Amino acid sequence: MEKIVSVENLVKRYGSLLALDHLNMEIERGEIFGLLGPNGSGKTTAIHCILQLLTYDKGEIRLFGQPMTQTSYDLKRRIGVVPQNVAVFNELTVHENIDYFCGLYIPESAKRKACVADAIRFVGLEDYARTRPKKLSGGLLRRLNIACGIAHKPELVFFDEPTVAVDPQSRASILSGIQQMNAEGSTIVYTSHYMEEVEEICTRIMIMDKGRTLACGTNEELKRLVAAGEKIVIEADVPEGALMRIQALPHALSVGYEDGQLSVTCENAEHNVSDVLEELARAHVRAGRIWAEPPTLNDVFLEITGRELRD
Amino acid sequence: MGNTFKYTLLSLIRMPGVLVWALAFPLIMSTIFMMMFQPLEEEAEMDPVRIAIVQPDESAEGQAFQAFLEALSDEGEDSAESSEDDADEALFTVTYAADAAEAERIVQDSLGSDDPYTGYVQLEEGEPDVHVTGSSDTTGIEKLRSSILAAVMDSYVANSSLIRDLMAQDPLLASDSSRSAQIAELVSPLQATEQITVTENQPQETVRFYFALLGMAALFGGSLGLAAFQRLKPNTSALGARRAVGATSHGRTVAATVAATWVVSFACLFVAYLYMRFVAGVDFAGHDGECLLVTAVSALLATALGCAISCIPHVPEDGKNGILTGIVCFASFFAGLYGQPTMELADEISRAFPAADWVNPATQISQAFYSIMYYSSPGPLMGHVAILLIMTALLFILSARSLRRRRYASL
Repeated sequence: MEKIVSVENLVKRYGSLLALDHLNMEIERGEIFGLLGPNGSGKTTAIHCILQLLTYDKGEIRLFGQPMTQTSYDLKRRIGVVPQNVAVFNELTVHENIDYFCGLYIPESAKRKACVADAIRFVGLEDYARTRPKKLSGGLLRRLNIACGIAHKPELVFFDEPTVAVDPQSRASILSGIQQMNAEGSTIVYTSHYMEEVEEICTRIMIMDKGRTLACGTNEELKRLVAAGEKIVIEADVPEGALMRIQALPHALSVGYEDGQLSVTCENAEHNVSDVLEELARAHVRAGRIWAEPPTLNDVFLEITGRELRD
Repeated sequence: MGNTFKYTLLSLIRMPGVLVWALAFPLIMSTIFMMMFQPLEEEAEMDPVRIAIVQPDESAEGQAFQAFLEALSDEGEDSAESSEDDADEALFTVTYAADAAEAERIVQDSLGSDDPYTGYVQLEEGEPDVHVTGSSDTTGIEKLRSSILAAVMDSYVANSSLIRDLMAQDPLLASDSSRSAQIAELVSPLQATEQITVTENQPQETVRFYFALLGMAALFGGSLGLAAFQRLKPNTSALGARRAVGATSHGRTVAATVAATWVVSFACLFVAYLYMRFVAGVDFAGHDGECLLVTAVSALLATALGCAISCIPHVPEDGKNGILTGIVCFASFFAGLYGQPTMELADEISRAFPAADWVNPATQISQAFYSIMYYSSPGPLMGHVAILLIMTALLFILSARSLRRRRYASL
């Protein structure tokens, strides 16, 4: 597979703060690559370094197999960027904004016309083509931001938290749009705080923290990396003694009991549910509803990056 | 590049906050100046005094008085012969009445009109008898008109008395053409002084305010440059960062932004110039080409000023707008915009420290317009234009390092 993005030993310092600590990253053509990390983990800094907006202290960045520099206009022409903050001209209409940003990559206005129309259709802003951004809702603004970034039909698109502050309908539309772009041949780099989004659309995920790669792989590969196997939830009146015995089960990692609901997080094992039910039966507890959930990406993320609060 | 030019231009002309300073401000100030200065100019440029005259009889005194009046007046509305030139030169607009009662009626009937009669004159026993309206609510201009009427009639009495005495002493005086010409020269008050002008056009006190306003308006055009360049650089706005990752060369983007900003700034200033010239009636001596040149150079300077201020590091956009406003107001003070006392103070400082004028863009713009109006040689104008261009170049050079940067240590 062709490597579209290749980052080797990237180091970026802000004074004494090490923002990127020998970061390595490789993205292959056709992937939807998820970049996950807590606030301040270095996701946006990494993207800004790749896009040559930020200087860096050490490392090598190659896009499409070629070194990326600030004057690599031929490479930039193949890249689309949807930044975290909506970055459009408030004085221009939706159509004019998309035409302007598309014009940064495609100078010929005749060729651009079809691209702009396609982008407007792609994000569903046909009814707002002559509207100025100030009159758009948060969700529509995000869609305009995306249209500005993808109108020139780039091969590689960076989406930096594109679904922040949008309603569920807009979010679903954005995610399906990204998947459609990927199906049409674009490679996607996607950063987000929303684990379920990343889990839903990304073919490969990298978890980073403190400027370093902590884990990288497919959704399933990442889940296998952590001890958590499944979470068992049982509705029942559980006495203190039974709780202590369940906690002592060899595969139980953690036990919680709140509002008549017992939750037990277990390691990967074969008889987790029956072991817990056996302990309840021994305490003469009748169980109500019972269900078991496999580990989520959120569990993986919290286990890898820790549960302490971040700035 | 064309795309960046087009959309920078469009975004600038749709920025209401910026256009208020670059376009609306000079128009509003010009209108205020116009309302302030028009009554003063009306007093300075008085229309002929309207008077009614009781038709003199056919006697020698009557004919002499009528000839005197004809020399000083265009004829009244009854006459079709008066020309515009006559009206410009004339001291009186005369309407003849058959008798004193009719003359008085003409005067009384006109009292409510925009241009009332100042009074009427009747020749009695060879001497003019002046009757003025004497209304209690007489304005300054009407008092002045009454005084003019009285002074002219007094001079008629004095001169006719002098000539009568001379004729009595030497009856052959009238037949000697050279001596009668000497007498005519003697009694003509206009021969006492000769009015000359050392400049190409007559100096006008009020135009200084308009020229200083053009200087201020030009510098306020810097707000366009400031807004445009704030949105060009990655370290000053999210939009700047987004634009920087595009595949258009940075040099072309900067060039297109300078061009678009200059066009809008020039257009705003040119509209202000046209408003002053055709609506406020400011006299630019018909040198439209030279005025266009100064307007164009001033707009370029404003673009460079806005660009340079946008390059000041670690200051938010509001702070940069404050800096621009401060510079414009300070520079305009020394260009003499804020009234007579500050104008005199600015003149004092200018005399004591001439270099202060060389570094003040508002003064240079204002003086460039002066040069157009008052100097027949292009030298002084070209001097000011050269200084403005040097200032522009220096501001762009100061900005160059910041403008050339595409990557930053932090955003």
